[in-house]
Amino acid sequence: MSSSEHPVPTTQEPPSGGALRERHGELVAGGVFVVLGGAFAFTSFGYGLGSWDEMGAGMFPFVVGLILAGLGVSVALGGVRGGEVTAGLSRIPWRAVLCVGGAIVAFAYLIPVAGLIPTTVVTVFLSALASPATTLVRALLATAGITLACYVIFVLALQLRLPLYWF
Amino acid sequence: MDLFSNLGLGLETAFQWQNVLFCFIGVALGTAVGVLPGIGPTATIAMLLPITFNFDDPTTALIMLAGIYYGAQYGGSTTAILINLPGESSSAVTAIDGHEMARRGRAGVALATAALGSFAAGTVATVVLAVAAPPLAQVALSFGAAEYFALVVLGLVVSIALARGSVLKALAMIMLGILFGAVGQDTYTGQPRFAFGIPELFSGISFVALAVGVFGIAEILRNLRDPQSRGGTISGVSSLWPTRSDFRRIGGPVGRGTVIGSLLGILPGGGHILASFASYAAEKRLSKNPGEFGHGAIEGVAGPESANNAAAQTSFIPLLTLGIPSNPVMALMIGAFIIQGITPGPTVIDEQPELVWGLIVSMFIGNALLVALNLPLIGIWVRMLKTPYWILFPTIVVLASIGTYAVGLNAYHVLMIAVFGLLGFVLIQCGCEPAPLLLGFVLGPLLEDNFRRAMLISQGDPSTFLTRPLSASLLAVAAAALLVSVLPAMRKKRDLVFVEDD
Repeated sequence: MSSSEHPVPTTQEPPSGGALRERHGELVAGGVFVVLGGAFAFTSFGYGLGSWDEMGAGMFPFVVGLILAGLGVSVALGGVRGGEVTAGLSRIPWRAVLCVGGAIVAFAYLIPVAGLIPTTVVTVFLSALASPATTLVRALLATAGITLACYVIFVLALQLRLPLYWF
Repeated sequence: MDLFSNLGLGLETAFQWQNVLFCFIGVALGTAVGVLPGIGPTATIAMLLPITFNFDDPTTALIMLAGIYYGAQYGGSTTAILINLPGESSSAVTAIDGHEMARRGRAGVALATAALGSFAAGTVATVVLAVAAPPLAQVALSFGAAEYFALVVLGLVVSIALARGSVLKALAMIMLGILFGAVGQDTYTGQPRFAFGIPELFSGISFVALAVGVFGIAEILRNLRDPQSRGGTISGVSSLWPTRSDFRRIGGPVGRGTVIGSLLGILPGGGHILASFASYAAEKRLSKNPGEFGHGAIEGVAGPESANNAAAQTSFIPLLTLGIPSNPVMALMIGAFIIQGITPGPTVIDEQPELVWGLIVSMFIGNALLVALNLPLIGIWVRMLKTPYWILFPTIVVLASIGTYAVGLNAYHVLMIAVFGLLGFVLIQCGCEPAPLLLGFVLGPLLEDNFRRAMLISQGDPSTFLTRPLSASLLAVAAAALLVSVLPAMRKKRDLVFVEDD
């Protein structure tokens, strides 16, 4: 069923790029760990480490952050010496990332001000556009159907107390 | 005998007609909401919780809640099997082989196996709970901060030993999870951490947002990138019922899963997810053809589902006796207990025996009702597979957003879905497992809290963890488990536990 919906398969990157490309996933993962671990450790430092018998708010995350950064360095070094072959950042579906991400962000900003129905319409429509196989007609159909279903489930059945519109 | 009089009291309470009726309503509602893709057990229970606030009798309210709990759990397994969307960490394991079975047209068999395995395991675990709860409550009372710390460390280490892929990356994911768990107000000083002045972050990162992001959204992005990896291979549904040979194959895994789950469920925190992982690993190691795992082995559904359900049952032990929630769902249950005027703890079993034993027996009833309700409905759930993806994924996105928002009415939690979805997608692409991240997130606060308390008691002397015999032996087991997973010779074997499923 799905093959007819996706007449244009996304281009597959050949699994064997250059030697660096194959392992740059390890570098990316290691880099993410180093950056996040370092950032957490650095921020924790400002919360006060305290002493070992009376630890400050910063001590535990400071230590864990340093461990994470250390692990990140090892992962990255392992990648240089030859680690797992992974996709890394080489095959990011940009359209899907933008549409799905945008749909969720739009939901977060609209729901407190616009009400449930308009927010649902925007979120469903935006995320429906994420698939290259979805035509405008299908996106509109999906929007109408899913919004109606959400209304029935959350408002009629579950009695979720959320404002429906902005007025 | 004490046990029989206790169970008798429980039966008497649970079989009052209104309790059975509300248990049934709870199971039906829990399943109906739980099968919605993108709405996991946590969101399901959070949304249905307010219904139980209206009862005058706390026993009825909690029995209905237990029904909702089982319904939601089973609904979560259904979406994991049918569309590879685990609503919580424990059903992530079911999804591995369950979804492969669904792709091969055996979705009905997978669902029936999950329901029957859960029922068998739940029944046995109910007895375990009834026998073990009072003595374990005593043992648990002797646990100090150092023992808890050691127990949590062991839980985290075991999860590495059983996950597939690089040990370093699994460790790093745990650390990252612990750091995400540290966001929010510090329990000791009240100081907000990593909140950057945003009041909405003071309460911390939402588990639902993290889980939906790293599992749900990351999976959608992967499917949209490789449309042919999904759907194309899902063949028609060939059979709904397990055959005689299927039944023969699931007996052993269900039995072992029940034992593993009952034991691990008692661990405060993470028992659930550890149970499914441990059972999966055990079945794979015991199997005559381990190559089948990851490609639709029925044992890979029967074992973890039984273990998961048994653990769900016995995880009421730390909840009822210590007031410690072992997972976010249990944390919600504690909230419901407190609203009903009951503070879970070592005394509740003596002070309100009809409540505790009624709840324990109603779990058995809830399980039985679950099977009775869901076996006839399998055909309907399986039709979910026929939903075209262009309808399914926007549905998941919007339901996940609404579900997350409904838990705390906090728009920041919805934003976090997007952040964690993207971060999760990138890390998964780099060969990192999302499950250890989730486990670290859930257990991190428990780890920090007990570490700080133990160090406070010992006046800053870290040898307290090694001089207390129980804590020392738990840490020794953890060290051994870590060593086993790091040793290269063993690592080769460990990789066999989980094959790449993509």
